[in-house]
Amino acid sequence: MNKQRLIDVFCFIITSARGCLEEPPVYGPLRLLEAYVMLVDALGEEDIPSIFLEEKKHIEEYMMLCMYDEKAFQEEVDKTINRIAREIAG
Amino acid sequence: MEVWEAIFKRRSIRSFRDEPVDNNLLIKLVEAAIWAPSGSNIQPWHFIAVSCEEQKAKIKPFAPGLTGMPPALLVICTDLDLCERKGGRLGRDVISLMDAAFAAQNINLMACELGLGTCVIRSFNQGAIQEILKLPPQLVPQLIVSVGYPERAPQAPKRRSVQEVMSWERYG
Repeated sequence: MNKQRLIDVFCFIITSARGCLEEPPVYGPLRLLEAYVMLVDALGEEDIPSIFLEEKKHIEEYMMLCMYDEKAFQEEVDKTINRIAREIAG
Repeated sequence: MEVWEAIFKRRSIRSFRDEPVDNNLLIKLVEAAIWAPSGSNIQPWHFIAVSCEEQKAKIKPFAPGLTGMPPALLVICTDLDLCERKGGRLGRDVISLMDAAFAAQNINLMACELGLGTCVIRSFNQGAIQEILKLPPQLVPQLIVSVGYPERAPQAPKRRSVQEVMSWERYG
């Protein structure tokens, strides 16, 4: 676990909480996904089940879709949730 | 590069190559910025170039709009006391923002000419950035422009057509 990166996530989450009061609504989901990516990076690959590492890569690829194609963004987030749920369900 | 080409080619770049931007190029971008229009010619701006890794790392957690880690940042600040003194309330509340935006667009277009990519960011906490950059209270960070060599450019988002957004003589 990288302690400095974890501290960065703390700052990012608090700053985002304040920013989301005034920013475009779609930035809320984006910030949550960004925080997820940062958390995975902070915790380190060895401590995380592989599904979450794989989804991190997917999320990094599609998260900026929210800026210009909200529908496609929503579909991608749904796919991520479904894949994780499927994995957890066994 | 023709102006039209720069306008058309410019994208908001959020993915940069790991390659530093020469200080002379950052100076060139600020030279372009200071020739932007300025309400009442107040020129309330101050530009802080940040390329030191340690300083960027301090800024990033307080700037959620800052995606990835660009090689350089240009923080566009405006002096609200100067704006109010020379431009009244309109100067403080409106011109200060517009001038920062005009300057940012000049930076964007000049960067395009120089083969650099930029992204203008407003999703950051102004108070936190003031602390990190040790800005005096009247100097407010309005925009951060990330600067670097593009790794990839996003596809051009759809634009509303001229016919849709333009009227002649009166609305409609």
